[in-house]
Amino acid sequence: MAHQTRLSRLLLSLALGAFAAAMLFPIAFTVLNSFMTEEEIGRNYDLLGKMAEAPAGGQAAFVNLKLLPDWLTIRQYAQVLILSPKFLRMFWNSIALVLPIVAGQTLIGSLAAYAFAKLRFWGRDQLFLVYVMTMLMPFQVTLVPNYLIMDRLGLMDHELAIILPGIFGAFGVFMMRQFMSHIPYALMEAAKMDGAGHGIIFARILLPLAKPGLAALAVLLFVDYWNMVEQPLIFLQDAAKQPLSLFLAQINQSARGVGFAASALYMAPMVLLFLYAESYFVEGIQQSGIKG
Amino acid sequence: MEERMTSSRRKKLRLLTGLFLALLVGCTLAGNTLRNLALPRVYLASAGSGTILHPYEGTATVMPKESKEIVNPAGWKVARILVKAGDPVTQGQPLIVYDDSETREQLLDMQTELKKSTLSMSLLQSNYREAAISGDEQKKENARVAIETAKLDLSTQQRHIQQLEKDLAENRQSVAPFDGVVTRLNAAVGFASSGSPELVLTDSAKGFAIECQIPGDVANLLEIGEDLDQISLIGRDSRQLTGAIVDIKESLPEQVNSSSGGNTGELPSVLPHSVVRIEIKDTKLQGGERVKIAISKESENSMITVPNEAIHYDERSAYVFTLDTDSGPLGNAYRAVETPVTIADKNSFVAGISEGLFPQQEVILHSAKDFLMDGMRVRR
Repeated sequence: MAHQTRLSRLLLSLALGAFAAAMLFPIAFTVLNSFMTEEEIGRNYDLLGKMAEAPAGGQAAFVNLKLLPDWLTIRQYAQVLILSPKFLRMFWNSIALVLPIVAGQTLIGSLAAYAFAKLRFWGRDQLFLVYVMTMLMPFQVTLVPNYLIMDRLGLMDHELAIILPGIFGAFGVFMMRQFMSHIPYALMEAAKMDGAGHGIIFARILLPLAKPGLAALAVLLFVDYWNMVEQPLIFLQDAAKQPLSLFLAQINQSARGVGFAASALYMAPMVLLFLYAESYFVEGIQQSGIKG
Repeated sequence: MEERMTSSRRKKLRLLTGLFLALLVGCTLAGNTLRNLALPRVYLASAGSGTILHPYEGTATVMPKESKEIVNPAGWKVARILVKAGDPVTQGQPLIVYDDSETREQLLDMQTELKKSTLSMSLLQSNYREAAISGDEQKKENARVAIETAKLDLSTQQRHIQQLEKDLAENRQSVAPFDGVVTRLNAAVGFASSGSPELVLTDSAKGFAIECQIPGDVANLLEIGEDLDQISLIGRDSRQLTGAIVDIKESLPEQVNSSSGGNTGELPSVLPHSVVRIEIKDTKLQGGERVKIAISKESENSMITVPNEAIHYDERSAYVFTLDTDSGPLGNAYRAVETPVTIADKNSFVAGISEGLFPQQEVILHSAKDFLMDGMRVRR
């Protein structure tokens, strides 16, 4: 019996290990390839997309997927970080867009979630349902009304055209409401007995308890808005204001090395944030019952 | 135990994140500095305001207002020249004596012929008398016709002689028709002139004038009757003269093109050159002197001025590059902006702008790069 258990554990570990390797391969591939010279990248991947045209059986007809570079170089990083101002400008643009959205939506979301989860008022659940329904609609559906509203507000080509809809997104409300509904009423009632109002209950009782939820929300929002493409593409015409997510789309064939380096740097903030908030994140996801 | 591990892991991650951000901030700042260094440097000037000065300096030759060309009246060779260029002469004064020996010979020949004809006349008359006595009508008629013919010949010869005598009297010498100065002498002893005047005599009593081609922008500000005092003689006697404008004539466009041809980079002057005639009031002049003229006129209205160097032209209009400042978190960013302007007036150095700029506005004089474009980032 014990032998069987050990075997099944081994098999499970192998299966999970293979799965993890499959998930990690693109990341490792990107990072390692970012240290290759442009010539080497050219040699390896010039046939990308042309394999069908190449004569059958020819050795050169295959793309050479290589993990370890022949010659290590940081030229691509120098190009991205020092020689070309575009990457860093777009990086800071991304930061300037994403941080207000994450902070704003976390704040607004937790305040609204408090009301939806802990206050009793007429039509609460119906209102919440309507609110959540906006979350179910993909961005493309609300694109035209959003565009018209931003145009009317005179916010076209302005960062606020992305930040404002981001701050008042429904996802934060939904997630925090799910999280807060698991916090027992008994805690609030005890605080009320001690004379605490809603402000104190929210700030002193609920927020500390909702820390994992807030962390999970922050990570999810950061990833979501760090990767947004459609919104900046539509609302920001000025290339000087566009975020980093549009940078990779603009890299051409002759600068694939730069593309790898940029991708590695592009991933870094998300990876660091995730690693930092990992334990909160797992806890938060577990408690709110949401699967990312 | 697990908590401690998490906390030390967080510390490491915080350090890593800090380092990553520090790297990006450092690169941003360094990149900005490097990029700034790569931007074309521009040199600026502030738009001034004032009037546009239109200076002109040129030289001209003093010409008499009235002059007369004395031509060789009969085409005889010159025997003696009694004056030289620059001599003042009075009315009636002989100037050139011509060699009349040939005509005198002719006259003597004619007189001899006349005498011979007179002698033969008496012979014809005696023939007639004999014919009349003989009663031969035919002979008589012949003799009469011969006499008549001889009379006609005589009168022709007499007229010739009179004509020659008159020629001798009139053409022996040329005299001054008025008081004046000999300005040019073409005659040479022993030669007959070939149609050109042998001598040019100027009328000093009528005064002198100069003519000069003045650029349109200056000429436009001149008026007929205006006094000019910046005229001076070139040479040892460099005294000041005064003059008055008597005529302003616009040159033909072809002349303007030929004078401004070759300056393809510059906009040709809109106004054509003008020929300005200035009358000089001075009794000591003789004509032919070189003078230097300086004219300096100011535009009537005060306007915004920029150096010509800052002005560019395209097929539509004139424009200057002004500087647009975007203030950013990493210092100001400057951009060259193409600003169309209307040029109201210009001289060789500055242009007066009537529209498009405000006083003290900074314009780009030139840049370290060969060309600038609208919206290009620059470094000041």
